[in-house]
Amino acid sequence: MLGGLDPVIIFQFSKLAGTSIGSSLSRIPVLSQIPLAVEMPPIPVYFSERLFNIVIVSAAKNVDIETSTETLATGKTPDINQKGIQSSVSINIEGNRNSIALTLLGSLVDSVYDKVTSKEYSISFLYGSTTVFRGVLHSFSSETIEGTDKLSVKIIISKGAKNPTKDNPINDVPGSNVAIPGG
Amino acid sequence: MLYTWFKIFNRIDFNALGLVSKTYTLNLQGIGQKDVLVTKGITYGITYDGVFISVGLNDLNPFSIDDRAIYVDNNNDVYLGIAVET
Repeated sequence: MLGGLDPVIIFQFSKLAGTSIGSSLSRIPVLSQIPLAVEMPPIPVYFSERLFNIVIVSAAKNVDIETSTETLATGKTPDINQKGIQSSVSINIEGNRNSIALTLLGSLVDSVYDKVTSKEYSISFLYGSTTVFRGVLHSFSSETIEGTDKLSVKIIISKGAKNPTKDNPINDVPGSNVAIPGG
Repeated sequence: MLYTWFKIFNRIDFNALGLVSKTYTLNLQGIGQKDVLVTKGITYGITYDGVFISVGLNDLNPFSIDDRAIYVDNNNDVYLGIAVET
C-alpha cells in the first residue's frame, strides 16, 4: 500500500523517434533538445485483492555489488574495488488464474520481451517503501498452484537508467563501372 | 578485368575517428547489405567477405587480386572494386 492506494506496477512503452522527425525538429530554433523517444501513455496494473483478486505475497529488494580487495606490497591498508552488479526488486504475487490483472500482466510482459533490445520500455513499481522508477524487467515467471485455481507469479525488476538509441541507418552505396573511380 | 567500384570510406574522416579498425555496414548496389572491415596500420586495408586487401600494395593503385580491387583517389576516398566479368 502506498498512501492508501493499492500497489501498482506501471509499464511505459516508448517509440524511438525517426531521423526524419529529428531533422525536422532541429530547424525549430527554440527547441533545446531533440527527443530520442516518443513516450506512449503509461499502463498501470493495480495489485488489488478487492478489484482483481490478486495480492502481493512478498516484495524484496536486493543490491549486489562485486567487491574485491587488493592487498598491497607495502603492507598498507588494502584497496577496495567495487563494481555494481544489480539492484533489483523481487515481487511475488498470487491471484486467481482468471484475474484480468494477471492476464494483462502476462500480455504486457510479452510486449516488453519484444522491446528488451531496443530498450523502448520501462517499468515502475510502487509498494510502500519498495519502489522502482523506470526500471527494466529482469525476469518473469508464473505457475499454477497445484490443487487450487490460483496462479503464482514472480517478477524481478532491475533498477538502472537506460537510454534508447536509434541504430545508425545503413548507407546505400552506388556502384560505378568505370576503369578508375573518383577524381 | 572490369570492376564495380564502391566508395567505402575516406582516409581523413577515418583518421579523425582515432580508431584502429571499424566495421562499416553498407548496402552495396546490386549486392546487398555487407559488412566491410576497415583497418589502419602502416597503410589502410579492407576486409571484404573474408579477404583482406591493402591500399597501394606493391605500389599499385588500384591494387587488384583475383576478383577484388582497392583504389584511393586524390580526395583520399577509398574504393572497393568487385569484378563483374573475368
